[in-house]
Amino acid sequence: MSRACIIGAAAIAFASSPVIAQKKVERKIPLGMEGALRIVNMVGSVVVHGWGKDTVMVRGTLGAGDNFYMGGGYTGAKMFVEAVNDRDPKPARLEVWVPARVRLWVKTATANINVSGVDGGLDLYVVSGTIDVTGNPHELNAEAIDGDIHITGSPPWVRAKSATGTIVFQGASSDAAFSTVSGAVKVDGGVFERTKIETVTGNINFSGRLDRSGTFDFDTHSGIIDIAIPDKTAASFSVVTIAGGITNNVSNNSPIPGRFGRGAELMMDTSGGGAKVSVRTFKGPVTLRRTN
Amino acid sequence: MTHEVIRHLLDDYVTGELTEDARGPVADHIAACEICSAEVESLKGILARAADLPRSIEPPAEAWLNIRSAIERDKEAVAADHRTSENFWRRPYALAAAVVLAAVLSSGGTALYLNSRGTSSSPVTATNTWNGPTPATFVAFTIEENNYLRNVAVLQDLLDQQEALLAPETVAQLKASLRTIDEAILEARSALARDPANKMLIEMLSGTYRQKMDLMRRTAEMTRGS
Repeated sequence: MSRACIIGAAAIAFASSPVIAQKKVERKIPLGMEGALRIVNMVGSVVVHGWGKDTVMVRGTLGAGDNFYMGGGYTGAKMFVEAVNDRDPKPARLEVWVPARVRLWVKTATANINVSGVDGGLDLYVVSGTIDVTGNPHELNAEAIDGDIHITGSPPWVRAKSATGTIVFQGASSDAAFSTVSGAVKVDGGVFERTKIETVTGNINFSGRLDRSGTFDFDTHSGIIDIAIPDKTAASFSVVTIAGGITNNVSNNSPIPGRFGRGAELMMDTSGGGAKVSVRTFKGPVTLRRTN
Repeated sequence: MTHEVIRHLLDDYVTGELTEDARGPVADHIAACEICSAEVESLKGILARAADLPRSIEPPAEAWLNIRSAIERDKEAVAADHRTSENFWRRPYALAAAVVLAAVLSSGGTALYLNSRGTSSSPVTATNTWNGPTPATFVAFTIEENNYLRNVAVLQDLLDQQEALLAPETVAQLKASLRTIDEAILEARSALARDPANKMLIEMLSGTYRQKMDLMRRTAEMTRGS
């Protein structure tokens, strides 16, 4: 290889190197332990960790020419990335440490959001990125259009919505609601109280313990519903389908033909009744079973 | 800093919470930009008015009495509505009329809804009238359905305007999701036309409509900026 070729190849490699195309950012501001923080980053990633200091610290990389802004007072702060070209923003990767009890609001377009160790309230919005939350925020609202949402923990109040994305919840909650259009919803974990899961065509898998005083609503148009509960669960079931079948592996009760001349119905109490469980589908099949 | 960026900093500028390095460029921009200058004046006005407000306001003594009587009135109204709806469905002519209405709406209403993009000049604002209780009867449902059709048209207009702000893949996914919901609505609507007394179908349809409105509203909000 001629010397000119080597220099040329090296120049191309150097010019396209991400090290050259990015710039680093590292900033720190004070924020109260229960302050509020807003983060906006359209493309790339936002990783947030809760910590025990009344300080927000951010480290990350921005696209060449992009600018990073962070400011605010002790009770509230915000940070965002200003892209040189709004039409074609370059990925910015932000890793942020926040006071653990902060009220956090994050909005992205395709950037993935990953939050861990934050006990305050979380409002997370993505268009097509993925949302991952680990921990026990006292309130969690996660919304995506076509991104997946994964939650591991026990937020007392949780809402998650996606259209085509999958929602996976592993943990427990006293007030949970999950909604998708075609994305699957998988809930697996401990004790649940007020729980509502609705999809249009997405499948619903629920495996957990039902609080005796809880209410549980499962609605879908054509998704498959699979509900697994422990043996001796005290609950009153109302399962109604317009056209779908019902398989009951929880008790000896058999479904009967639907009262409207189609579909099937199953009304039954287990262990004397308790939690109110309503399952409704248009044509999706329903299976009730015991947890393994 | 661009106008778009500075727009987000005006509240901090007015409250004095803007960092020192940003304050200078923001002040320069405000001096030269009529829109931001007006916004700053407006924000200052709001702060001044807020400062004049009392720290707390005691509710009037009769407030709880009024709330209690309103609850009682609601209970009676719900009970009366329940009695009326039961009687209504016992009348054969009403049932027949409802079946005809259902057939008309199942085709006409769905067509209107499917063509809502072309008939979206309605001045009705996109307030979500579906947050209330699910309509208990078919007649109540059809009234709500018309509200839904108008609101969907408004939201559709908004999304059409914002479509360029979304990635083409996201637009494709969104349209696919809306088609999925539309197909479910059509299927349930058609079943309801054959079985207008089916309350479960009414509730399921209301739920699916709510999901469509919610998806459109969320998408519009997400593309609107922070």
